[in-house]
Amino acid sequence: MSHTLLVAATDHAQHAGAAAWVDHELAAGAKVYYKGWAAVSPETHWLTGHEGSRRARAAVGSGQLEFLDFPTVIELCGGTTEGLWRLQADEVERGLDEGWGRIAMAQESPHRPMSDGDDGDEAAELAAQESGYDRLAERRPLRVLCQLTLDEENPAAVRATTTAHHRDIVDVGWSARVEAGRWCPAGVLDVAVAGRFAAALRGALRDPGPAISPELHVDLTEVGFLDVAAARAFRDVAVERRPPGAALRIVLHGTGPVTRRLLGALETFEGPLTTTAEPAPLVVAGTAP
Amino acid sequence: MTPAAGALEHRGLLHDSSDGVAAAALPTVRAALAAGDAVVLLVDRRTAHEIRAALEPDGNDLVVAAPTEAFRPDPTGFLHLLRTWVVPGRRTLVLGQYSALDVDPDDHAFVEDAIDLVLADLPLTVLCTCARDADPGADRLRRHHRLLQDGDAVVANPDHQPCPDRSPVRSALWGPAVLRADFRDLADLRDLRVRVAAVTADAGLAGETADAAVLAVHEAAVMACAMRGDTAADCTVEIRTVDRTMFTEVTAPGVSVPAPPDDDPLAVLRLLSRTASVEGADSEQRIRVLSTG
Repeated sequence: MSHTLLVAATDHAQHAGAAAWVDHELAAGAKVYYKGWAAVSPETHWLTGHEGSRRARAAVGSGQLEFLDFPTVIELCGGTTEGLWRLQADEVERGLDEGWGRIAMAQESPHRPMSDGDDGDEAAELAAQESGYDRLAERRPLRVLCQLTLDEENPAAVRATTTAHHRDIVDVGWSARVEAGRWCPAGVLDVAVAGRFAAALRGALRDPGPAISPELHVDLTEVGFLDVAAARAFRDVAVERRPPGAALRIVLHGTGPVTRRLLGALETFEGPLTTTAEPAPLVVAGTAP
Repeated sequence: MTPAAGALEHRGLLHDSSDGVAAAALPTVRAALAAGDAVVLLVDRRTAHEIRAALEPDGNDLVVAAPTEAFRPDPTGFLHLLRTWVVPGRRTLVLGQYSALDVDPDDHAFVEDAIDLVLADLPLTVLCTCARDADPGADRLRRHHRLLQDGDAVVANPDHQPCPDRSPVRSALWGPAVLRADFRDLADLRDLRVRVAAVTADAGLAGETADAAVLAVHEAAVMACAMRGDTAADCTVEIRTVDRTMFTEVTAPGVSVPAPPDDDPLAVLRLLSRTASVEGADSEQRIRVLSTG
């Protein structure tokens, strides 16, 4: 199962990544359903117009690639999460009935108008919509690409979307995935991305995995650079209130000497995260608790 | 007694004019030779001859260096020279004579402070000597040395003035800039770090030291962006390197907002570097970071 969030700063950057993903799925023989904002004919869409790949243009003609614009999606699903799930399920079944061995779904950045002040209910609804893909993928050969264009979304939508996709994110300069029971960020974690990283970490903490575990194990082996802002994100998220079922603490693995020095410095300058009577919510593996 | 290996000892010795450097420093030189230390004399010819003659035949084991060349091509050359006198597995005593040095007073002051900052982990004993009645040499020696040799004893110097946090040292004393780059916002820091990492490698820093140096420059740049406030003007990074030492100056336009009294914005920077400071002017703030290998 693959349900990836592709984050890009601008539409132009987003198009490049999405086009590559769609082309890859088409080449692998998948039926691709693409949902976006362009309410124009496939012949003029950026994915299949004169800027698009020959494969994508041919796929439109053969029916391997289908477009649906967001206004039509909302109309078809009645604007409800349940309606959206039925629409997606129907698409999957139809594709399989047509003889395609695998289904791929991609959707553009939705321009979701989330309110910045209180995003609890809206975030929950977004998470429910995204989990619909995961439920489908448990039963069917489905791969999903969700797109998040930072220029097009407000901060609340960026946070909620990143939180919901913590299991598989490809962001600007960093990524994250789940592997062998650990949450594995990779790349550069710095002040420019610390907010989104914190949102993804929050999602991972609330969803530590199918195994019942009080700990979220985070492997930093593939993180090439981590600054004060990212180190602070670990501390800030570790002490946040969490819903029942969330992991109780974060255990960091694969930390380098400079990262350990940084975390120790923050502990010294900003104080410990807990009193001595409570278990520490953030631990570096291999050090005393 | 010879200090433990790996620790710099930087001391001053004031001697009577009538006795001269040789008489005042001989006990220290003898003790160093007896302990198996290497000894370098950075003194005038007459003093070198006197010391060698007094120590014969061991006087031939002494290395004599030309004091007039010690600060060529610039003051940082002396720091490099001191590094070259480090002998693996041994301690080195460097005996310097103020009156023999051909150096600008400001440059001399810079080097005296820099020795403690960038050579602290080397097995060197640097003993600087000056006549007690020399003016202004004696005052300068008292100002720059935390410890003074008094006969066989080493005593704390109450007149020592530690290197100030807001240094007036000219950054050009660290040599020509090997990197100069402007950056506008946090998104520019990624490319900047790649360039800084290359400079760090060229400077001879490696491993954890190199990683910490790059992170220190990054955090200084983040601090500069914050200091700039609403100004859209670019910040600037300049890096100068000499002999496994990296001096970085990040300039932020605008007037800085004072930090809260309990807050030390340089705390983390100091942990990642040898030292860090902020120097303010009317129209800009300069964050300085010194990293050494």
